[in-house]
Amino acid sequence: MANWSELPADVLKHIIGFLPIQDYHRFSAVCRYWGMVAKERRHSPAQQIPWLAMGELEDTKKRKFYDVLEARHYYLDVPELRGTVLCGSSYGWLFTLDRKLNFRLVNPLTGECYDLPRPPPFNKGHVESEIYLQHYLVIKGILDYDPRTRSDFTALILYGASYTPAFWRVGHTIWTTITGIRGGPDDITFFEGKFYFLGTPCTNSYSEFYTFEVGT
Amino acid sequence: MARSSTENMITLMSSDGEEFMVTEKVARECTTIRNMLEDDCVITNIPLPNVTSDILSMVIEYCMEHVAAAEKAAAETAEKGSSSAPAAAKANKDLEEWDKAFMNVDVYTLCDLILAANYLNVSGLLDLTIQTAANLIKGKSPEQIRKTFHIQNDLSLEEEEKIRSQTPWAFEKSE
Repeated sequence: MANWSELPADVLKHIIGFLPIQDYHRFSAVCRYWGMVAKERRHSPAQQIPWLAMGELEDTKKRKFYDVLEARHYYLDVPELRGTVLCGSSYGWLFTLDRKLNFRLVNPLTGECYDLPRPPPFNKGHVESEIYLQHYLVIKGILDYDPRTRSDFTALILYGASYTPAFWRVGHTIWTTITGIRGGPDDITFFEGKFYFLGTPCTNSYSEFYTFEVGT
Repeated sequence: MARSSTENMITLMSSDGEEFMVTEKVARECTTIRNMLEDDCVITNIPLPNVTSDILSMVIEYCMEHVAAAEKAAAETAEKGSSSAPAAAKANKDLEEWDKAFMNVDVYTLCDLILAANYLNVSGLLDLTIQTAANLIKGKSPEQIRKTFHIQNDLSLEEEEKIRSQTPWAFEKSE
């Protein structure tokens, strides 16, 4: 008779391919064989319906996440996220900023970190107010590719009260501000090899798209 | 199902010796069989020592349904010159409903179907059964998963504790 604990590893890996991260971890604790197979097949963020990243618990400093599909919260103890504000996410990485203006990418599920240069124009300094950090410094950050799969990725941010765009590429020591976008963009995104800016010029109420390709 | 009399018939033999006569078109839904036929086109009798008759009959039922749906869609396209989008959408939905009803099986049958779909390489059936298995796992604790699939826990308390302690949040009960 068929036995689930004796399915070929390929088949179990195929099943893992359909599981969100929390079920992936539970899968690995079912029996020794399933655990072994799970170790060989890393979870990919592509399988994951995004969670909502929420605030920090005051007592334990755990970060709260909300899973829309399961309609429940998860509380993750990620030291790298303590005392930070979040200003963007791509491929499971969060853009985090603390009061000392340490700007980093953190993967909350693996604890992996990637240091970014301090955001412009504050190349050094210290910010007292969390509100200021949250609302005036980095508005949004996105990545073109997953740092886990590509070593030559680029990050794009909107910063400051006027939503100034700036980019940073692996190997650069500072952020490069992008000029020439009329009125400043309202939003940024990345799709099939290009960054897109959504802008509203001051002269009329129509939105304009700008595309931007990062050269080498 | 309309069937031309000239169509090649192939006999599939299950592990317990039962014979199933199917059209070549249905048999070709199994990539493993298709490859055999392409290597040697005069084969008419294929023994399948890994598949029992009850599971093989289900695999054939699945393949026939999907071949019939594809033929019907092709016939409609030929008749009208182009396929009508609402009709195609409805046909897809009907086939999805059929798949869903087809997956109303116990976990032992599901496991056998996965093995058969994997061995015969029926990609649609493999995806369907794997997705069904994944849905049975989702939202369950390891203990509930073991119970659902009748899996013996061979982990020691220490081993299980070690796994849980790496990602404690994944094992917390929902509030």
